[in-house]
Amino acid sequence: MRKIVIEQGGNAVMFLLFTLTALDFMQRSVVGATRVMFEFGWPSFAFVGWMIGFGLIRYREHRRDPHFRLTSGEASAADERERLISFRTAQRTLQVVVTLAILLLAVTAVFGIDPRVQAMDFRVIMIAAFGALLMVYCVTFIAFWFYYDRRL
Amino acid sequence: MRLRNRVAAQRKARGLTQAELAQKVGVTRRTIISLEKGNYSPSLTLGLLLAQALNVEVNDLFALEEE
Repeated sequence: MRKIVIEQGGNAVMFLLFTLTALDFMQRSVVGATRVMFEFGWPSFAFVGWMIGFGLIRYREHRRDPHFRLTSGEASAADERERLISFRTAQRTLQVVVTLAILLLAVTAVFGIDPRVQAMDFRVIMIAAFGALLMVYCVTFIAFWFYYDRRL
Repeated sequence: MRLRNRVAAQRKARGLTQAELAQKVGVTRRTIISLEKGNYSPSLTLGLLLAQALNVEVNDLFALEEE
């Protein structure tokens, strides 16, 4: 359980910071006919900092628990029961994420045809929505892992 | 049909803790707990390993029964 919370909790923070980085980068940067300017704000630095910190946390966890494999991440399993939990969790999480992705596609289409929505707002909403979907994936994975860990 | 097991009884008869049995067969203690509660049905490999670790026949550990 601990390794799943660390891995997916860390991934959720990573997706949050990456979403903020994308939004901030989009707001600050300019690509015009006469000039091109890329600017990075605090979210970019926070994201890079987190990637380094998260890498260290994962390495420390791998040293503490060899069953936590750096290459497998949330799919790391200590034995056959945990492999079954991972499999069922992945199945359920996929169902949730695909359902939400379909809804997101529908919402994108609605926003896309609404003339009141500005192009910039539309981009911000879409980036935030996709970022939120990735974070929901992490939280859903933890929730289902917890559920199956208690049931199996 | 439901798989019934006598892992807890056999383990206790040999004076083993759940952690010790888990270590012997290479699984987590949580898996032994779950197995003894009847929540988890082990694979054939784990079943054989448990029988070997407890020095009994597989039939002495597991049996099918009507629900």
